Amino acid sequence: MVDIRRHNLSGLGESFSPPAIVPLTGLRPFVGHPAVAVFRAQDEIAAQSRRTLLSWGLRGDAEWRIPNTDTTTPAFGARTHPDRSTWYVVARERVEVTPGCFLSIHVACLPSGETQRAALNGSGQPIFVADGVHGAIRITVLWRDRAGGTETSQHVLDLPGSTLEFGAEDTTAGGFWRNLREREIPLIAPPGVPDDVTELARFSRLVTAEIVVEHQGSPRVVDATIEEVPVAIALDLDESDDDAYAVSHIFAPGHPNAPVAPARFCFERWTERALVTARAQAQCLGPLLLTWTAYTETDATPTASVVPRTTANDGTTFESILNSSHTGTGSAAYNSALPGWSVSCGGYARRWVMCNHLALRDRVAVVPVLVRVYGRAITAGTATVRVQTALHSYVDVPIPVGSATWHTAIGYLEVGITPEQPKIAQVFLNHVGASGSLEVHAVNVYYSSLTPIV
Amino acid sequence: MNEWAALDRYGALSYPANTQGTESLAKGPTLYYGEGGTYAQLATDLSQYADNQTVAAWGHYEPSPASRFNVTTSWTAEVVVEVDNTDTGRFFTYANISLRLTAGGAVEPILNGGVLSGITLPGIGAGAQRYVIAWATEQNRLTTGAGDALRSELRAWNTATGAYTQRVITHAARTAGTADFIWWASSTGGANAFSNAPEACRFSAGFISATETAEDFVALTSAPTITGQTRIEFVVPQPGSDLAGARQFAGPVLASCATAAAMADLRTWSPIVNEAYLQRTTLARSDLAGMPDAWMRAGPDPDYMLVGAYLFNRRVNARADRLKVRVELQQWRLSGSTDDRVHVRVWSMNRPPQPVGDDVVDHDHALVVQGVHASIETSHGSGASAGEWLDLGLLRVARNSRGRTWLVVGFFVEDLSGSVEDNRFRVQAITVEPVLTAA
Repeated sequence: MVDIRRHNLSGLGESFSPPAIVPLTGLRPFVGHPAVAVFRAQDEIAAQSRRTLLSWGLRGDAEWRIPNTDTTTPAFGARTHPDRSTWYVVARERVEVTPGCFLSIHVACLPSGETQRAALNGSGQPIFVADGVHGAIRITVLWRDRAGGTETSQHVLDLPGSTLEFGAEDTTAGGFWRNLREREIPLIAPPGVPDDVTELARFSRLVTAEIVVEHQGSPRVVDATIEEVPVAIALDLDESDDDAYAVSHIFAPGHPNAPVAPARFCFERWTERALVTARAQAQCLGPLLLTWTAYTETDATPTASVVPRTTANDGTTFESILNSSHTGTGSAAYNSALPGWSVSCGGYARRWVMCNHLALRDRVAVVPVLVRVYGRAITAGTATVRVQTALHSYVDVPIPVGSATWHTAIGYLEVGITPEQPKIAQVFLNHVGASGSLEVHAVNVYYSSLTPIV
Repeated sequence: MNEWAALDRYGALSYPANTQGTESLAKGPTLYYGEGGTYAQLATDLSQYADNQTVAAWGHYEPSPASRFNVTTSWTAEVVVEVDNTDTGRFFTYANISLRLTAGGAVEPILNGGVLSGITLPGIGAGAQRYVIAWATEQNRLTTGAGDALRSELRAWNTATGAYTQRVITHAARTAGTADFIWWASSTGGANAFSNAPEACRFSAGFISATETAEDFVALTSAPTITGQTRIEFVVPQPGSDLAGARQFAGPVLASCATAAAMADLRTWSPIVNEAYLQRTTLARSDLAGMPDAWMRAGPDPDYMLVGAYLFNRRVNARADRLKVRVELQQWRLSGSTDDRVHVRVWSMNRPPQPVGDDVVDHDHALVVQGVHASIETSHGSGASAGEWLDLGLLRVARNSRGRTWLVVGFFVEDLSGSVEDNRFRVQAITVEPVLTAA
């Protein structure tokens, strides 16, 4: 029997009140209201997510990929600006999306610059000439459901263009700040979602989203993010074999705080459902700890965007992905004083069995993680990408020879109990073999205690 | 509410200790724990089973069937030993599972009659050194079949040098079977006896993380000072258990679910900004030479210069009332011996300061600004790999009408040396994470 129920989660997350516990303890008459408060509270948990899944932009660069100068090149000169039709990858991600959440993109940018097209000068010699200001971002998401099915969504966000000569940025004092713009796409979701309840149910169970972000033309992106936004969740309550992913109770019809209670109130079933939900929330929900793309404005050229981080080191040396001078032998490469990414939010998702007061004494935390690396080993050798948060806490991702693609490893990482306890992740590269090398385009690390779809 | 408060509601914390209540390091899943410098001491079971073992000249053992050790999919064996590069022998043996040491410091697991890939003890040499060795096994979430049904982590710490090594291997599940459980040899006759000095041994029915082993046997982390709220999973009864069935009291089950919900509300809270830079632009003086002039402007505190390259527009969880801010900075001087002081401020604003573009959300609203600060006058040198994390503390959040905040980094170089002309610094990483302090 299909018993799909749907909840609208939009606008939730502004507040959360834990349900009262005392009325549920002993020597008190059992009435409905305290139990209903538990069911409703469970239905608000998934809507607390605002995870930033991906970010890119200036990130400390001191120059744009797009110059402010004349776009007409000398004869036989090299292209100085991108064309206005080619899409260039700048960031990518493969991640399980919090059930009930879908994606949005927000961009802070400056007006886009000029583009170029090939032409001939008066002497018939090849040159490049201006082809108009243009900048756009395309987000392609391959959604994978738990049954192995896929859907693709694609959105294009056009960015404003410069009105200055050569499509230049405003270089007068304070010009950067005066010309800031904001653009967004508020909802990126699989086709049919959220209106089609069957499709919504299909994509409400910790689905995997493979995200590719591309730039077209000459955008000047200061800071862009793809974030989770709670939208709606639907579950077939009779799919008991999929209970591990049922992170919402789906109690009141339509909305967690809807006033109308179910017509038939059966505590036997709802109590079981509450347990299913509590367990699924602990298994499925957790932070996205780290996301990184090799794209930089400085390294990008008019005809190339991501310049993957490479190494050909040979042996036991591990080399920081951020800095080829930060090296060490094996696990000794880790140095918490040096740059890295914070994983202190991990403690918000501590599992009892690994982190309780008997296990780690509330001094530090450990969480199960999934580490994904987009890259490849070239030609020969054995390549490894290591994500490390302490001398004895790391996850290695083996990277085989072949085309660049996603590679995955599971493990456990030491994290902070909360952001107030510093805990830094560093990413290292290692290649063993006299020939060949390793290249890495993107890395992401997030909480995961279940088997991923891919 | 923190986890202690949640547990106290049920009286679960009848003692504030960090153990199961009997002995340090003997915990819930511990099946056997022994410690001491003699086999007689090690044979005293400090676990909750308190099932002391038979002492022999070469070690100690529990006679067959030793059924409680008959785990097949998840276990952790840990030993603390003195070892040099001539030592050999078994650390433990139980039916078809064993952990052996061969000359040269090679530690290898044995399972179902086969020898699995091992590790070499880090820094092994002619002189005896103290090692903590662990073999932790769990079900492999990435399994492709019976051959890689389990995932093991084999680890070793050299406690004298601080060196550590680890290897992950996948393998089949252990075939169930009982036998004598033997520490420090492979038979009750003393075959393959370990040739050096054991200090402790623990066998557990579950996967113990490397961090937990390190906390227990290598070094204890200092407890952090935390002012915000913490969370930890509250374990509920298994769905399908009788507790949730008809004719059972619903109250206890629902009370546990209520506590679990209260402990789950922050599970997805993730970093707001978590950037570590490939391009580490060198900045000079207070005018931040190195960045385009047009990208800079005076900050809310006019001594500080804001840089567009460190500008973020991010959504912040609506309930987060503080942001923990850290900046990794490298500073140096080109000459002289006195370092200048670099001040770093991070502001949260509802919009950038005017003048700002017309289509910036809330561009015409009154500016709301919150800031945190730290400074540094340490010279790290100009080397390619140096720096220091600055803790700027907890930043209050200024949001716009759509729940987003602009996070802006500003710098001011204070002259301590008579001139800031030769001061240089660069930002290497910025992290901003959500904190909930309100009860």
